[in-house]
Amino acid sequence: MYDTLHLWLPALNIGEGSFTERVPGLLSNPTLHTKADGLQYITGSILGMSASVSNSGISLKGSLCKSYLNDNFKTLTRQDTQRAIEQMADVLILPVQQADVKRIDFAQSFTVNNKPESYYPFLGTSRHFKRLVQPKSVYYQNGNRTKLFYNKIAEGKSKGEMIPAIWADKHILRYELRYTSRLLKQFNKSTLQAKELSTEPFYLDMVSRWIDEYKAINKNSIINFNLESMKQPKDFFTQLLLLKINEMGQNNVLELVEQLKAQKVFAHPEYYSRLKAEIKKLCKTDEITGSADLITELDKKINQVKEYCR
Amino acid sequence: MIAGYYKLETLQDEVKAQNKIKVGAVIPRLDCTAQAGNYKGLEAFINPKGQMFFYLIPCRELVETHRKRYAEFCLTGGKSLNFGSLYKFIDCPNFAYSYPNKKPFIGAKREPNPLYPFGNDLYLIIKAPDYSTFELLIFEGGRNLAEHYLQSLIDGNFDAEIQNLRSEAKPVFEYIGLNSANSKL
Repeated sequence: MYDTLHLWLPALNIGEGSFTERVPGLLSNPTLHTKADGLQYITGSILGMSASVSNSGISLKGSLCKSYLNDNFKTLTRQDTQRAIEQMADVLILPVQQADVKRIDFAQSFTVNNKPESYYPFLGTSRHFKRLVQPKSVYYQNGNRTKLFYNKIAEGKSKGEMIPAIWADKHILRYELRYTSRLLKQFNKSTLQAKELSTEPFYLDMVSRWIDEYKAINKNSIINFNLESMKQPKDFFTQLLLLKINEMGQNNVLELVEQLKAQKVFAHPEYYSRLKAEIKKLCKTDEITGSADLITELDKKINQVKEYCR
Repeated sequence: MIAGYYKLETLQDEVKAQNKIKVGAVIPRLDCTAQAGNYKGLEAFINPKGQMFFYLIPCRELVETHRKRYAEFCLTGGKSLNFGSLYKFIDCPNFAYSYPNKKPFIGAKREPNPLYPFGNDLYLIIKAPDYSTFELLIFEGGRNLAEHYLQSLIDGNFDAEIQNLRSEAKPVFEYIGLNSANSKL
């Protein structure tokens, strides 16, 4: 399930004085760069990952999955992760297992019943994340993490990659969680080295975090005009309001509140969060709203990863 | 897409007896009675007599892992060569996937693993509810897309191909009395 990793192997952990001369010889397309302060470093690629070698250490960035399995359509299992890191260490003749982890992308692709794009409107807001919609993807971003859903086949085709035959005529949705900065604080650790990624406790913790981040996304409900639940005039107006929200899209209505906030329309700042909470509550009204089949399907597929992840 | 097809079944006691296979053994034995395709990755499971068979063993006896992630059963060949654990989706108990051990050396003696060259292959399994019959389907290079292949099998995407392989399948070993035992059923 690991995809992109950023690893930093400090010179101190390498324990070999001549690595700056030896390692560039192993890289494809080695290029010498000189910084403004005169410090030099060499970049290149090895096993599909980009490498940068300087006196202070070696940086490795790229998809571990592509490095080991040639593409990231496949799922890198826990044991494959260990083998992929060992392979990197063997080729570089360096203790890559002791490299510090600076970024982790954790992802799984699913065969889904409908076009991936049809799931996005039901994925609502997520606290502490900014929701961004692209034509083929939806992102949730903050300074430390990103979670995203995208059409894996469309992404593969746009990069000219060979799509696995088993995915022919299928809809493939990929859900990815990226830890992009301050990993030690986020994982509450004093160190995080590459060798730890494939240990069972850490791997299962990653799976749990990946599922929890999905659960933390508000799921938009289906809104129905329901005469049976209409008992008094107030109910009519409630349903009318919900129909308008449905017409506009729940995410767009919440975005509208953000725009009001940016324009400082209300007298008190707390009114915006209260209004958003009321809208969310309204959209969950029993008997008028219900969970979308698409979300029920996605919930099941994401939750069962905990059972069958290897 | 399917590189190999193997039908495994628990032989009738009278067939076992005629073929000098232990009758009443505690650990169920599944013998390969039909095979199609040219897959070479399971040849290590054929014994000197030419029989291919597996033992069905509860996983807890062999695998150390988180209790919620146990596969229920695994298949093991003769000489304790492990075929693999049988992983299932919770709501589809009669379909499973498995794959070979990817380690280059196995056992206490660190002997070469005959399945190592086939480590990226995938086995999909259709089993009878009572575990008496298994059909193994081999997908070369499918290991790291196992869940996608299993879902396709469950959705019936391989049905036509499986039907063809069933009709093409030939015995791996001529068990004495097998045909007459089957004709009685």
